[in-house]
Amino acid sequence: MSPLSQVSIDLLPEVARRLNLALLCRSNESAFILMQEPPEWFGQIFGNGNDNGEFHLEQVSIFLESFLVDAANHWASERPEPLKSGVWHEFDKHDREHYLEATSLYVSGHCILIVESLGHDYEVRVQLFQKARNFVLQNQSLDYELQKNDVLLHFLSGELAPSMQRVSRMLADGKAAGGLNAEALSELSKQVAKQDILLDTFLRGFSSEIVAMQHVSRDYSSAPDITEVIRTLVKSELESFISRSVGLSMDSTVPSNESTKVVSHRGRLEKVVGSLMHFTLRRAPEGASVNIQVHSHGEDWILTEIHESVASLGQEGEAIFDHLLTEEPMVRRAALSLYFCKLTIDRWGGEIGYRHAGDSGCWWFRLRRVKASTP
Amino acid sequence: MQQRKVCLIGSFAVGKTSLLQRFVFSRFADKYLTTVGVKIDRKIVPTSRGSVSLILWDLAGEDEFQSLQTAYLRGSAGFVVVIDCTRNETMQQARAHLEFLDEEFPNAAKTIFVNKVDLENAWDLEQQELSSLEKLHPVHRTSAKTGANVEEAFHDLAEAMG
Repeated sequence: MSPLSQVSIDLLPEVARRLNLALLCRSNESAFILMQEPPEWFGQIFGNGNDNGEFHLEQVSIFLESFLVDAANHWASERPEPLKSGVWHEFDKHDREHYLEATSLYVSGHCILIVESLGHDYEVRVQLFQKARNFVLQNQSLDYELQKNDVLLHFLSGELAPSMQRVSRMLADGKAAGGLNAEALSELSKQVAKQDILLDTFLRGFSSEIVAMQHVSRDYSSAPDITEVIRTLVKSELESFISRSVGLSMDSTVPSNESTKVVSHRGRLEKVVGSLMHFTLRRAPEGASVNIQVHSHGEDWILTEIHESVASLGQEGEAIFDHLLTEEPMVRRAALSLYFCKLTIDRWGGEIGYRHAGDSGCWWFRLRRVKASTP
Repeated sequence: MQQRKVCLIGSFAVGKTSLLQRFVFSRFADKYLTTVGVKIDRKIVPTSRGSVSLILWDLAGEDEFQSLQTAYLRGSAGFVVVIDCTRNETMQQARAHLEFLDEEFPNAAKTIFVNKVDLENAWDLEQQELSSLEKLHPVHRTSAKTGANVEEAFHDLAEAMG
């Protein structure tokens, strides 16, 4: 043996120990013996072995029990490259947490298992992952805000574009005619004022909707009771419906001992139901009727249905919440209020839709029920 | 006593570690601390068949920096796939996980935890997609923060594992 080899044999166990490595060799199917004096942490986690100095690691560590199945296959294959377990957390007898990684190696007919305590290296790795993931989360959050703003801008441009085109046409006509006459000037200033009001209304509306959406009541004491909200609305809107010869009624199939309180915000919920009722009323012919029903939908949901004897939308209406932007200005304006209904219901974790059946139609939405015992 | 291995999987930052902290130790920390590697905890839960010791594997969340090591899943009797209700993309990831689990572990019990329901006003899940998952696997709406449904959801899984 060369002097260098002798030095290696003498020093390697200590080198391994200082590198926080515990080197083990498989002595039989399930037992391992240490190849050096192990680092301190090893004994604090895995003990001192049995009287023969053997360690049954699978009995101490659930993680190793699993990894040793892969390691056994790896050793059986006699592949030269190492197999790593990945990092796992283990507690020692003093309840201190250690971050370990195991490696299986097949060397000259021996099945070697190395267990390493990662210590500071692991902490650096975690910090890196933490930073990267925080950035991804921030990025996702910004993306979401941008999407919301895109939708608003789309609506605004859809509303403003036709009027702006009219204004610019008038200016072009005026220029071609050698100047604007008093009548054209008056019409022009009317159009501009109209746009000013429209834009102001939009921005105020959007701002208050966004503020309202931030408030949600989910505890029993403050969550609104949808049956009560609808009853109040039916009472206050009944006259409008009667004046247009449209019937309005409400029913509830929810047993009186069950809660119909829903995760929402009272003012906003009134606005959602009110918007749907007005949408229905505007399109209802004389003699039609509207019936609002409240149902339990499983234990956790309350379903509200607004049945129209004459459908306000055709078959294509079933996709209205998927395609709220249309070319026709009146529909687009109505769609804006439906858009806010959808946005609000979505934010409360509910669902909204429209279905068409023969001549009749039904707006529906479901919201999570708040039970008395809900935390 | 029977032992059952349960793996929690899902995208990063959906609350897997927090759910286990809540379930096993009844505690919650608001700060997001990412998991690298595997953490294993145990909890004994009563079931209609007697007490069962759940061996709970908290696997590091999956993302472009770290992928799921399928070797960790071996021997699992149950899987909890966790979704963050404020991030729709975590549901897409969950769907992919469930497809994989249904193929590789057809007999294991699987359940979906829609976590962070205390942030309901920031809800971002597409309801249609969630409903379609609900038809395939039990869905529990949980909050590791408030503790809502956490205990019940794990108990249901323990029962389902047989």
